Amino acid sequence: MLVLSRKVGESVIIQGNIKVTVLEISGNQIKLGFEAPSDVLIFRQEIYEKVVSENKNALAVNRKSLKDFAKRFNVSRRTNI
Amino acid sequence: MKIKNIQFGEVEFDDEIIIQFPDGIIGFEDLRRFIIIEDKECEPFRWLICVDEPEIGFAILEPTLVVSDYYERAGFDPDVYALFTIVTLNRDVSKTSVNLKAPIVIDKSKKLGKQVILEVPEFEVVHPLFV
Repeated sequence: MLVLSRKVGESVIIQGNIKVTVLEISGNQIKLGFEAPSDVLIFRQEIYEKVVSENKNALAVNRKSLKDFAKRFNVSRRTNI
Repeated sequence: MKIKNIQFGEVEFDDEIIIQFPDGIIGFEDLRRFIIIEDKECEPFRWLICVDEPEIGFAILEPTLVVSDYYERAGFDPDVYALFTIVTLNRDVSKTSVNLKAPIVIDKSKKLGKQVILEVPEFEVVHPLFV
């Protein structure tokens, strides 16, 4: 891992077109600012990993199970309305 | 175009309905082309099927059926974008959930799709459909 020290207001440049700036430090929290082309995806790691794992869980749904579930879902919607 | 899926058999469709996902789906970055299939028997749920890997299919749902002002809270104009939430079925029905945090966003006129992660703290990745 590359380790660089930065002060508040200082930045690092990645690949010439991504800029990460340290905006604020308070206690054990650091605020980072990102400037990058819109096709660069930036996520908080723990949320990204949660979405990946949920996508894997959601993949390849069985049609019959969905059909059964849809029935129950529709009944509950009607009763709620 | 025609694809074959174990659950649907052969599905034939007009190429115009293909939605391009330049970044894929989160965790499945190589899957770039999808279609949405209506399924009368499973309404209001629909299918998001990958054209390149037809066995990969997600059940999706209009998020407004779960949160009525979802578009507004997510910050998307319903005239331009169609949003869908991915459903995770569970054998235990009470644990079946939708992913409100990371919806599928489709630019309706450009036919471009993307899964985004919303900065809306109250939307969760695992939101049970039955509370």
